[in-house]
Amino acid sequence: MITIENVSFSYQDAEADGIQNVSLHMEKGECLLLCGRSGCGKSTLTRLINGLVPHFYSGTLAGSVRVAGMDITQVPMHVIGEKVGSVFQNPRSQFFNVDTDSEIVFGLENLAFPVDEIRRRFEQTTRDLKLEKILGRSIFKLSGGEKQKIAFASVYALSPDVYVLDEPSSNLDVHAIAELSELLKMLKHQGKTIVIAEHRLYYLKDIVDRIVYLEKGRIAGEYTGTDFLEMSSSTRASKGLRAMDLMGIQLPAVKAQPRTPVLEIRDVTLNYDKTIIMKDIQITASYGDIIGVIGKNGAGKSTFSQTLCGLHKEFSGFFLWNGSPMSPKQRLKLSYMVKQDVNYQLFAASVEEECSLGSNNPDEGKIEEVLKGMSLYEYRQRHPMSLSGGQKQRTAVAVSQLCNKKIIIFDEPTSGLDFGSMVEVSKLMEELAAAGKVIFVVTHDYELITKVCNRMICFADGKVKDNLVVGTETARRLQDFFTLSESKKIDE
Amino acid sequence: MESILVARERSRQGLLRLDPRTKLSILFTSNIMVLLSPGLPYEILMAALILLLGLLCGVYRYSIKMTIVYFFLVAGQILGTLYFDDVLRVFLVTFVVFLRKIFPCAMLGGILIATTRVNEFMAAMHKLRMPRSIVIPLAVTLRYFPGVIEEWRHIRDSMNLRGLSTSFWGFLKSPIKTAEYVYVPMLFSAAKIADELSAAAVTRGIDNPKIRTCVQQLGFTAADGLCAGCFMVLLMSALWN
Repeated sequence: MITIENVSFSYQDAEADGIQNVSLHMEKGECLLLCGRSGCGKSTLTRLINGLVPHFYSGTLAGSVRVAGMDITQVPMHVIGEKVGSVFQNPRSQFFNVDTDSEIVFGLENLAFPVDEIRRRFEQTTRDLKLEKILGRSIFKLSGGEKQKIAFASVYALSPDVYVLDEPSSNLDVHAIAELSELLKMLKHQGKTIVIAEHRLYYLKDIVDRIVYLEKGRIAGEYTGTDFLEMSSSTRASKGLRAMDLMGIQLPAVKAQPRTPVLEIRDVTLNYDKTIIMKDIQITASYGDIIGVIGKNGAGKSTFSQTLCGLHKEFSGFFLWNGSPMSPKQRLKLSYMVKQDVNYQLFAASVEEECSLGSNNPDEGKIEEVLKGMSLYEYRQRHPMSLSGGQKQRTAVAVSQLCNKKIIIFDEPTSGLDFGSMVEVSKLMEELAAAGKVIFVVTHDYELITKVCNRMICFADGKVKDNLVVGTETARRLQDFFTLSESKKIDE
Repeated sequence: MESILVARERSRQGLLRLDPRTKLSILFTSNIMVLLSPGLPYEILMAALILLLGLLCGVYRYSIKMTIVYFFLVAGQILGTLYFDDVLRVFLVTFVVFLRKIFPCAMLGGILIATTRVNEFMAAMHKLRMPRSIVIPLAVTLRYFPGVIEEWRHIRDSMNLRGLSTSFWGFLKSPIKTAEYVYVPMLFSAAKIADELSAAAVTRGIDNPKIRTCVQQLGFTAADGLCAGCFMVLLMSALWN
């Protein structure tokens, strides 16, 4: 179905990394996983298959790519689009329409299918993907998981032979990932050929037939699913890969818990647009705590973090700092949030300027010290937007240090990160904790929690369902959440 | 069996469903009307007509809100002229008059965006034989605007966390700085979204040279003629004067 022979490609603007001398052959009905560190060329390889390279991203291409009997370099995109469907990482930016129904039929309309056929396929797609509940909605009212489902539906309606997915799980919660996994099983059952580039591997455990590991634009290894599962965790880590079997992760023994309670959240009820989101929240936290916050999308995690840092003001109850209640305004001074999309948080023309922004007499010495601590000092003259994702994140954290923030909330800091980058983020958090900050991490990343959090809070059913110390003793409860046995109980 | 798609289509909007081409022609006529306007009463009549159109198309909240703002602008102009001294009059009233002039067209634009699906718009443009290089960027723009609010919220939150003011007074105190803080992240995210959006659209055949189909039936009805007619009559009356 897919034959890639001796292909090398380098991007014109040389911003992204290309691939060198890659050959790959895939049978019909096969499911292939491409993995490797960020920038290893796995996205480029998916783009070769769906034609975005060379039709959309230009550069120098050598070698031949044949997919479903077409020479990809010669055939125009709209012909490829009928045979090869693509789903991307960011559910927000792959919608061309503003409502779900139009989006599902978008591809069909582009390819000028007759209206009757479009209707038939629309109904078929809705049935197969169980979309009844989310039809007729504005895409701005959908959760990330629902959006990704619609993106999938829009491709499914075209009924392509080959599916190409580029990090489809990056923005999804545990439940949406489970649904994605089911969807892929269905496609495989229908005999579709599937290529997935991913960092998160666990949900593909029972689906992939073959795994291709890329390193610096070359294929550096091929494994079957079982080979891959047997790989030791140290080999895996040295390759920069995430765990494929979550349950195989060893939790550390319970660490010594910090014991200077400083933040107390007492009897807090959160409201949003006058409806109650969460009730009766009681949490205490100490300097040096790293608290993982987990829960389904819509469980109230973001309202909670927004309220904690004083941005959201619809609530009742008390946030006490050293025993005295804080107003939202005081909390805003005391806390900082590192957003999932850190691009919204950087405003200045250089890293150095970013650090002194909003302050009348910036302390040059302290800025230098903090930047050195974040290994950003050599980049101080660079434009923040020209930095890598991890460097941007560190810049945002540097800012929080300089503003002397005490509570730092990380919102999904590891979405779409490979193993190495995740380790970097966890080191950063540990350093902050050691420096006496209170840290909250809102995340769906089990590996991150086991790696860095000393405590974990689970939101469900409009309340704090669990408030645990992370360690071998509580491994079961944690695993339950991520293997969804817990949620099944809740749903029933 | 009637398609679900069609059934929901009927319940989607208000009394009036206009063809996107009619909407464009109305927008065009209104712009000329503002240019040729003989005076305030004429423009108020035009705003009233636009309000009526908005209500008939089922855009209730927006139309009413905008009408109230318009009312204040008109009141501001009249009272300002009566009670302010010369300097203030030049500054404020001129500004208010400028806003008031373009306001009805902006309101109409909002109504049209709210009632037109991207695919309807594209199909209508293709029927008008507009080249793709114009239609696609226009469609992307139409798609981009509703998302701007979401972007703005992110930026506003981040600014507040940094102690950068996002209030109206903060803006008045240092307008250029504030605008820059909003503008930089917005620009970068827009560039990224545009890139990803285009890639996603290209893989789904947007560059197909064949005329695209459209699930929604496009076509002119009596309602189209009536609406375009009303605006045309108003335009003619301006010329007559």
